[in-house]
Amino acid sequence: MENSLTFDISIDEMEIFLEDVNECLQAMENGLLHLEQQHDTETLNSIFRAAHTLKALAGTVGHHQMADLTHTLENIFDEMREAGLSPTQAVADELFAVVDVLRILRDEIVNRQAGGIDVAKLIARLRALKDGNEEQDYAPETSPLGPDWLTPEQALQVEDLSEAGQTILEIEVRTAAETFAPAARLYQVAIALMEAGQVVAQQPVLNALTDGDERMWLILATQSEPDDIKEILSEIEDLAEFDVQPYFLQSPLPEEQEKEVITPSPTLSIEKDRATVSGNSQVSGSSLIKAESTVRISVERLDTLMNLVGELVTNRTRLVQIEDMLRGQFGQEGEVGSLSEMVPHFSHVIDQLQEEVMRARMLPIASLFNKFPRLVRDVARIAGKKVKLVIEGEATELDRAIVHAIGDPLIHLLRNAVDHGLETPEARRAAGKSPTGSIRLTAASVEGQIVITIADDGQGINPGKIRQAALNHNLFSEEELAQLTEDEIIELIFQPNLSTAAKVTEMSGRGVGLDVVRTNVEKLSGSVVVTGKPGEGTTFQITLPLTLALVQTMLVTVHNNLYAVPVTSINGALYLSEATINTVKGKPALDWQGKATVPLLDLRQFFSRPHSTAKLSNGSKSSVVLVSWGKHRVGLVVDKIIGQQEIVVKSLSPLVGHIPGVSGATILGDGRIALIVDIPSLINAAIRAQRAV
Amino acid sequence: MARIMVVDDAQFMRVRVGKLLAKHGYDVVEAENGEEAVQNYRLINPDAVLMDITMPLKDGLTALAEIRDYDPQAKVIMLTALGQQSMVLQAMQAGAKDFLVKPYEPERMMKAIQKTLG
Repeated sequence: MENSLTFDISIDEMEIFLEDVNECLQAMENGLLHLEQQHDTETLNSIFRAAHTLKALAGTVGHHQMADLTHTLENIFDEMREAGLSPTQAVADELFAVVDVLRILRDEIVNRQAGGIDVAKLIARLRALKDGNEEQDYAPETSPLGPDWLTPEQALQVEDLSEAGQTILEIEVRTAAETFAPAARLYQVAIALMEAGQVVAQQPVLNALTDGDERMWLILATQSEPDDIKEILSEIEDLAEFDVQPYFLQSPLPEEQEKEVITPSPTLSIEKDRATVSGNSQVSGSSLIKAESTVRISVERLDTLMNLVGELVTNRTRLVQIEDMLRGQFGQEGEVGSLSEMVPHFSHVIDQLQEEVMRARMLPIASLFNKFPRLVRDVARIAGKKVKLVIEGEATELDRAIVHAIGDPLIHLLRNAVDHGLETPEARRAAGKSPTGSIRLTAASVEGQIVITIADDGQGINPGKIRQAALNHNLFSEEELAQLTEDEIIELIFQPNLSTAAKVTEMSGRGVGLDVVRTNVEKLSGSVVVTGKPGEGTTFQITLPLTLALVQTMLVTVHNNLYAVPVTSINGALYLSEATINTVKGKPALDWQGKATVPLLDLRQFFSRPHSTAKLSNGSKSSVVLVSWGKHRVGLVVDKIIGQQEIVVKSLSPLVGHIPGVSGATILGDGRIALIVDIPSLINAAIRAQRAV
Repeated sequence: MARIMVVDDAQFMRVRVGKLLAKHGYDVVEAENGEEAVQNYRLINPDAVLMDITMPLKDGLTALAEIRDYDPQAKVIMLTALGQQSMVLQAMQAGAKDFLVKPYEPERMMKAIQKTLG
């Protein structure tokens, strides 16, 4: 049975609701992280405010457990504020856990499904944290109120006013049992009565009202009738009863006299309120004056927009080609001349349109990086490490789809850095380092790509350990390993099933490892490389495209089919006839400007029928496109290089299935289809072929 | 039609209250903290103000005092939450006309506004 929950929130309200809630949660988390480092009143104030706002948000949509929990938090923060204390580590742990629980409760509102949290128990635990500093229960004030306290002056005043024709009324009010701020209500009563006449005597007097006061007694001289006064009082909220009687100075009322007691009917008003609640969610805020400077737009719509712009961009290329051809054929005369004038302008507008749409999809990576201080703290706590996380470049913007997708790989790398990269404080001291390890997380935009680095100053990667692990897991033979350079050995940490962790820890279990990180990064058309020296730390560098939607490619032909090679991975190109080809281990390899020997992969062979034995033949236009991925380089042999073109990436239909070496397809302006080559898988194929000898 | 300024740091609360007020035919102005509230009050002179107490930059009590300083006739209704009893009392003593406790019951809110507007 599904346990479905209902909340008072409509779908169109959900997004801003979540925005507000998430802001509060983030503020609390950041605040707690900061307080762990140093005490700071302003931070305490801000987390108090966050808890407070969250309470109101939760209460408004009717998530009472969430409201109760945040109320408890608010009290704790308030007490810390009063006492000038920061949370101890144990308390901070509890509070971080509460923030996590609040996220689950928030999700309950989204999913309308119970998250299985025992909130009452958690609240009880939090209350216990407050060291017996129980919440104050204020008992109703029972001290007698009444006319016994009229001072001689007041008695004289009453007499005068009465003689002047005023009605003298004795008024007693009591607030309802559950009233939120009874004293404030009483204050309101006194103010309302002052407007209706002259208050001669009052218990308690206005400026003596204190929290918890629930009753008030007054002597009022007024022109109004008792019924008018009752009317005024009935408009004030939260009054359980009020009693308005003519007051006679000389003959106080006998106690037995029947008093008229009016009790507002609570049931009626509650039912009315319900009726209003259910009807209020349809209203538009048309009369809101504050001008909205932003408009929300769904990601799907942005994607569609981007796709359309992509079509324009590819058609633009075709248009330029046609214009060029016409000009060659008919010269600059007449219509062709006008076309030639129009095309550059048209191109320029499309460029701008493309840039604007791209920009609309951009998100600062801060939205992701913000989550990491907490993560690093938690991992460090469990792993017994001391860590200082430095974040730079969080304002760097990239496509929101990439921001979302890169989260998991980064989390994995950060965990690894804390758990395996950094040494324990003791080990660091022994090695002559500061006991606190450092992790730098940076993002920067470099030549149209985004580079994210995670650098720790820990123990670094030990090639010997990796070599041993590779042997232990039977991934490579002794001979194979002997051929690898130190860099290549280090690269092996991206191999599936290779874990060098000395022990399985709570954070990084065995099995899922850096290979998943690499796979996920490559899915984003990105690459990841690792560098480092034993004892000096490890650096992971992830390079990502700014956007996934549009790619600058080089078009090539293989067997008269078009293929698109992403320009970001191209290092160069040359005619095969001009290339120096050597044979390395029986396989053809390219001598790259005398600097490096690069394995060749003949795409004419790769993309032909399996087991084809076609020889590497130097056709007149055959070319080599040198591509790189991480630290690896491969020369791709193709029939012909056509030229550069920006393309819109379309994924292949599942009906087509997975084609080795192909990551997607695109439709060009002239309607032809080009397949986008998958550089990582081609490079892997080339490396495998090299080793297979 | 009367113009009401809604002051709350949570956008959701402003929108929620704004909708309710709009439905009842009020013009709504928003402010997201006490500082903005005081500025907007001077600019727009709303007929009534619904003011949250706990806000960044300038809290509701300070904003109430400054608004009442500027306009002794200002009609301010405080928006409060559980735990703020003493602040409500302070607010009433500082000239607030009424107060509402979150979560708001729409009926009560409209009643308080109508009463305050007189």
